[in-house]
Amino acid sequence: MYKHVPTGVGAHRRDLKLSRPELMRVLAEGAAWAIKEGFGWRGDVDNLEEGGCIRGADPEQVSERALERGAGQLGTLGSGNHFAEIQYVTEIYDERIAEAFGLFVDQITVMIHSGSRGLGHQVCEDHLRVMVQAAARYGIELPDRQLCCAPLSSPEAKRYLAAMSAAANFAFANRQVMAHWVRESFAAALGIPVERTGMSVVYDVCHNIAKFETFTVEGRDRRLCVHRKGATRAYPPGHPATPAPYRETGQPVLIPGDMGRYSYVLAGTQRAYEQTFGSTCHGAGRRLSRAAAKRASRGHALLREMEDRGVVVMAAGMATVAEEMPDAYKDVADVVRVVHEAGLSTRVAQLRPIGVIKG
Amino acid sequence: MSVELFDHTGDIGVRLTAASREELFGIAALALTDILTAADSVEVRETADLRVSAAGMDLLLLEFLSELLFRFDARGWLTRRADVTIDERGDALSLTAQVHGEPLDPERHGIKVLVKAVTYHGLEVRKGDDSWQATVVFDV
Repeated sequence: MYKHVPTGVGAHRRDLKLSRPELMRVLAEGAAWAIKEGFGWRGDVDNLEEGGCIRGADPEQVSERALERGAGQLGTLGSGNHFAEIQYVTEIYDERIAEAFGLFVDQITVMIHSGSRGLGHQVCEDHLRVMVQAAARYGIELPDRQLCCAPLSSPEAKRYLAAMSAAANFAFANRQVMAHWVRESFAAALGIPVERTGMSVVYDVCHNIAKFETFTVEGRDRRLCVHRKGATRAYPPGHPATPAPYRETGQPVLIPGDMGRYSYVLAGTQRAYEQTFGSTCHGAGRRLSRAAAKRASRGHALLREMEDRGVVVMAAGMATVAEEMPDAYKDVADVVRVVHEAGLSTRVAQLRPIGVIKG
Repeated sequence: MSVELFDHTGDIGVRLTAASREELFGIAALALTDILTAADSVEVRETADLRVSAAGMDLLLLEFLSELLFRFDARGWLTRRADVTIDERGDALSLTAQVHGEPLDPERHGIKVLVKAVTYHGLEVRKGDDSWQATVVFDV
């Protein structure tokens, strides 16, 4: 997997080069572009949030600089807390839902955490610059310029949302391409055709995005701009936006933990739909800052300690491994217990890592 | 002249002090490089020109660092030294710089952390009695 999926700064595969028109298609079409180009199987997009493409994306609103940053970064994992992880299912908490998700005890799974890469950061930066000035123009007082904004109906906001949606589509395509390379790496390692790996996509969620969704507020349906930052969607059973296989169970919710302990799969609930605009937590959250994690890791043979726990880690840089060491994170089991008991999602399965690749 | 890193939850902050604003911008560029990789592993092999403008000194610093970050992320450029000139016309500030450094070589430049963006959060450039100071928080 480490050979097939580029990790770290500047890494990319020579066999994926995007011309400008192709990049524009990625931004407009999202994961569907990847499938058309052979990175995946036709049914893959059925199980992605929004079908792997956010409508309203306008590639023309993405700057030249963002395009330049993105051109070489499609199909790359990135650095920081991004990872791809081989795991196995250790525990099933809800048999019925797990069956619908296709999960069972001792099954091998792969979880990928990555996003829109430099292209998305540049879109953010470009529009922050606009918003800092827009806030003053619309008479919005800011406690911190990083919180700059404009009314949702303003031309500035519309342009930003169109660009952000295009960046989200880049992210969908990015994960789709990597998911396919993960399949190819399993096929290569096992010496079997890719089709025989049986690796189907369970789900793909965004966790830093604002988009339009419909909710019932004070008795009437309203189209709202829902901003999930460090949160994921958790739609309930029966919701039309939930893919058909999950219509009876609620949408799969993927909650990564840390690379030494475990991650979880949950399912969305009616309660989340009613109380949190169909949202739940996204991950464990840091316990130590990056610098504190680095200090705490000194004197530790992190890779060996991980191996002793049964986890092989391959990373482009050891600094990232130190920052992302298990002790840097809260115990995700505690976080998951809280959302489960609060009824915001239903605990379905626990996954333990056995192999991790990082930037 | 001093560079001091500080912890900022998931981010990395840096406080800079220098004798002049040009020197301040120069050490800011070096601080960014040192967050990305060990700055002393970067050699001066090439020189590039850059130009940015802004309506205030703090915004000028943000534009300058954002430009360097863009050149790193899109083109792999690492800066070892920046010779900065700042031109002030009323509220309009423009900066020209010659940046000396080299392209990223994964063999020699171990990446410490990937900086996503230069933020407006807590961004400050101020002139003291006999020095210039700046605070910048990087989103990592």
